[in-house]
Amino acid sequence: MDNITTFLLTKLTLGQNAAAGLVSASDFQAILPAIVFIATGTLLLMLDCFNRGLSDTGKTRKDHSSLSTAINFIGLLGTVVAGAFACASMEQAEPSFAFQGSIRVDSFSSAVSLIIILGTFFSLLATIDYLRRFDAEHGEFHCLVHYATASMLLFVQANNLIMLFLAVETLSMAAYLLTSYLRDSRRGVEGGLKYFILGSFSSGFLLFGLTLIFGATGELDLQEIAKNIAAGKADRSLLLAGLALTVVGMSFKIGAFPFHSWLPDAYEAAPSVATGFMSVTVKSAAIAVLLRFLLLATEGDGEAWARPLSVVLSLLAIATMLFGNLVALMQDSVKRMLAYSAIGHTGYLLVGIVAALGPGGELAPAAVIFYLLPYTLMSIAVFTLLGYMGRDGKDRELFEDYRGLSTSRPALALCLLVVLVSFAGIPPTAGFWAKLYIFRAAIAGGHTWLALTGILASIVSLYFYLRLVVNIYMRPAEEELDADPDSNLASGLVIAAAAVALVVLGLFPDLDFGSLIKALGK
Amino acid sequence: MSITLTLLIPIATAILLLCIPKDKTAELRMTALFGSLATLAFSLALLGGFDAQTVGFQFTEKHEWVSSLHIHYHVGIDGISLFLVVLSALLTPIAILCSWKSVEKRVREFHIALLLLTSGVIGVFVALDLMLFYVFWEVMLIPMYLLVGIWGSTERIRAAVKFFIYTMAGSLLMFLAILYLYQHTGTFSVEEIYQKPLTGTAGLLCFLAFALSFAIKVPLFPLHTWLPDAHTEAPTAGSVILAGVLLKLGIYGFIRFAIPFFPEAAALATPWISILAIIGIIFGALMCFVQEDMKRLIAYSSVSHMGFIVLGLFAGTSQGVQGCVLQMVNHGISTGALFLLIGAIYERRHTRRIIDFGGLAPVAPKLAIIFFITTLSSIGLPFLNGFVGEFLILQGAYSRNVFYAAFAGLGIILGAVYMLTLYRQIFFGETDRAENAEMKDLEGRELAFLLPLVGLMVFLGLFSPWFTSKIQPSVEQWLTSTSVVHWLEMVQKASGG
Repeated sequence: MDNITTFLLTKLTLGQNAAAGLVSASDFQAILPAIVFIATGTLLLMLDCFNRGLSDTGKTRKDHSSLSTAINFIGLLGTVVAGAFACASMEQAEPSFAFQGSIRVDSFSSAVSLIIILGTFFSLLATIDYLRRFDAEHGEFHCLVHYATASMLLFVQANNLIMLFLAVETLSMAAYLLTSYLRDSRRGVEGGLKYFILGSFSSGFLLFGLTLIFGATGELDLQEIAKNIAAGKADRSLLLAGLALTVVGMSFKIGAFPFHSWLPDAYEAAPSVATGFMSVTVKSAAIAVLLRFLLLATEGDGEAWARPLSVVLSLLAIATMLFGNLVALMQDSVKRMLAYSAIGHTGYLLVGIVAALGPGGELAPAAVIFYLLPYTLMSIAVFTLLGYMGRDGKDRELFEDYRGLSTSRPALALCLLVVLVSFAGIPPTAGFWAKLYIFRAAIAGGHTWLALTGILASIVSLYFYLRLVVNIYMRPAEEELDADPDSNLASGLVIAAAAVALVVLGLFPDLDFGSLIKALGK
Repeated sequence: MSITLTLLIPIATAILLLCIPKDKTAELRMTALFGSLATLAFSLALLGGFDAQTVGFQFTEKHEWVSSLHIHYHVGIDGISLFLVVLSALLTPIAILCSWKSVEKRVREFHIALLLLTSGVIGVFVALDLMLFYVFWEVMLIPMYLLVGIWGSTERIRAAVKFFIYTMAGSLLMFLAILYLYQHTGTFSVEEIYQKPLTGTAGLLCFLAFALSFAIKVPLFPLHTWLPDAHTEAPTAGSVILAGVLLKLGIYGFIRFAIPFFPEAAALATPWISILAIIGIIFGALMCFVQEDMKRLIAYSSVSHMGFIVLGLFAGTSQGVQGCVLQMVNHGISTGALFLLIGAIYERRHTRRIIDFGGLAPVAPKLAIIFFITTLSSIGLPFLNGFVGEFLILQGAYSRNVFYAAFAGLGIILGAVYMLTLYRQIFFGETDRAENAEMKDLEGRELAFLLPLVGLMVFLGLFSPWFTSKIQPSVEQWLTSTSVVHWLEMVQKASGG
């Protein structure tokens, strides 16, 4: 036992460059975006204490709201600053390492970070109206979002098994709390608890898997693990079990069938803005990590490993695409429909991952990253809509609730039309190109069946996205919406920005992902 | 440049409409009308500048769009697409005029949808890059879906969803085939793919995906079931564009893409498609006899006529293909006019049931005369436009197979019977209902969009050589291109051996 501890300690602290100091300034520079998020989150938490104090001593609502404004503003500002830092690290050509190689910064991790930060920014913007309307303006929401984002950034940058697990646990904790944020509602607590139990369960799988990988290769550093596997030094059966358990653990996190059962309940229970936040950022981070992890594991003697792995993942992808889209078809609640459709989108992303593993998969990682961008915009927009429509402390979740939206809010309806068309993957929106890149990568990798299943699932998905369009555009309103669009200014802004971005990205979809592909560590 | 302008003007007008307040309906209508007339003017400029003797595509433009996938903005026109572009541009102002009074809710959105639809269909006809084509192919679906679903009649939502799911299911499979084709050829350029036709099982599967998508659009029996619903429920403007232009997209797809891309598979499928076309001709015609709704009757007659056009194409002779191209334009004009006339009647009487009418001829003589000319044009009377196309198609079908021609001839006879019966039921007999006796005749606005169409029917009937002279060189060139020759040889071999 002692031996193991000593061994671990050497691995952890004195790994590669024991001579150099334990940490240096450049180490912190590498995780600057995450630091900004942690700092802002903590600052907001402290500000929130004043907020409480104000409300306790019966100060006027005006003071109260000015403090809330400050919290909102600082939260958004922190996001922008972090985004700027992430942008700056996009530029660097070569990957750089920090904290004894446990953090790896390259253009891949920076691109995913940027997408996550974008999602965070939009979620925070939508939060402003939502929390005010639900009378739940506590700083801890912002704080949780910031902590979650920070841990996601570290998760994406993690280059070491321990770092990986620490980041994913921190991020899950924040996600559990966000799910049950509306603690007065029974549904929120129930969904949060379910998410917590199943999430902890999956973390167990993940931890066991990572441990087995460590046992099989004797290394914690991802690059070293990859080298050992490639050199054939690893214990095969142990490694296979470890990889399988890791994939299971990650499948929980991304909500792949059959590990999805927590997802619809958690999505439904969480406040809509939190659902939007989680559905895009957590998934983006987990998908990116899974992609990088599997690429490293199958590097070198790729063929032998890639085959069984890609068979398993193909089956997962097929099941996830079909299940998500078919079950979404039967939902009466828009929120649940979106939850199941999110499962379906996980399936498309898995197709991209499968394509990346095999020969001819050079294009697939870029396709996966491209997919995440419109997906982020679309998901945030629809979940913001759910919040926008909510009132009297309840989300308006049924399809019928959206009847006649095009008469009362024509501009909003038009933006939503764009978002839904993009969800369905119809040009000239970015959602079309996202699917195009994924399916093209699948065909290039010889996975025509996967692409065919994806197409069939897309045909199914048309129906439920259209169902919302039908309600918005073709059915008359049953009741008038409350005429107070001002109180929803920020939400409206989010939806409009997403719609414009989707069209612009759809007209100019030619992003240069060449650098990303190189940076993946191949 | 002028093709791009023809494409962009409707989009620009649509954006302009967004800036006009939604309650200023008169301004909205005028702007939309003006924009669509400008589009028409540019398309006529294309017609004027078109040189029939030049081989290949004209007015071509090529710019890089998505460099990582080698997708280009590549457009051009040849004799096959020329008149279809003009027809699309022509029907839009007509559609706007015919909705001047009948569309009262959401005027702004209506015209935006109509204009975007125009851009979409013109884009399909001019695209020379497969992915660009696909983008336009899908872009036009949303406006059409909204046109049927928002401004349609009672069963509009069901019809709209059916139309959308049907066509999207086909086109998504085609999307997969396009990606596969790209994997195989490494290009999306239509002209380059002509040089590398896909053969074998992959070719067959890809052809089936393309053919399914196009056959749904045509629609070929038994994939036609969306059409009567969509036609019946759509507003008049929607029906006019649907019948006039959208159905032609499928045929055009066969000519431009499916046959030359996959000649071997197309040859295998040719007898089957011809037989389905014949079944469509007869079935569509027979269905017309039992319809109670005028619009539904015309919808089924479209199924019959489109079967005719497909038959001409798959005959694969110069006459057959020329007839097919010409008849696409003819059908657009005649059926478009029929829908306009029925729309005018519906606006007055708010019913389309045939038994509600009778003896309209003395009440509304102008309507009766124009309806009569259109009916005659639709059944292919000599000196009107329908005759030339039908004659050429019959000639083509005859040289392929006598039975094909016989059944097609039967279809023409049936067509004459049901159309004339319809005419008799509406316009002749006793004017026994008060509503019918008080019905107003056509007004100036309606004559403004109907008379040009009637003029075209006569013009096309009398001066068809002028049209065929533009179409013929392109058709000849198409028929002598390597892969089409290969297709014809294989068809010949199969039928001969």
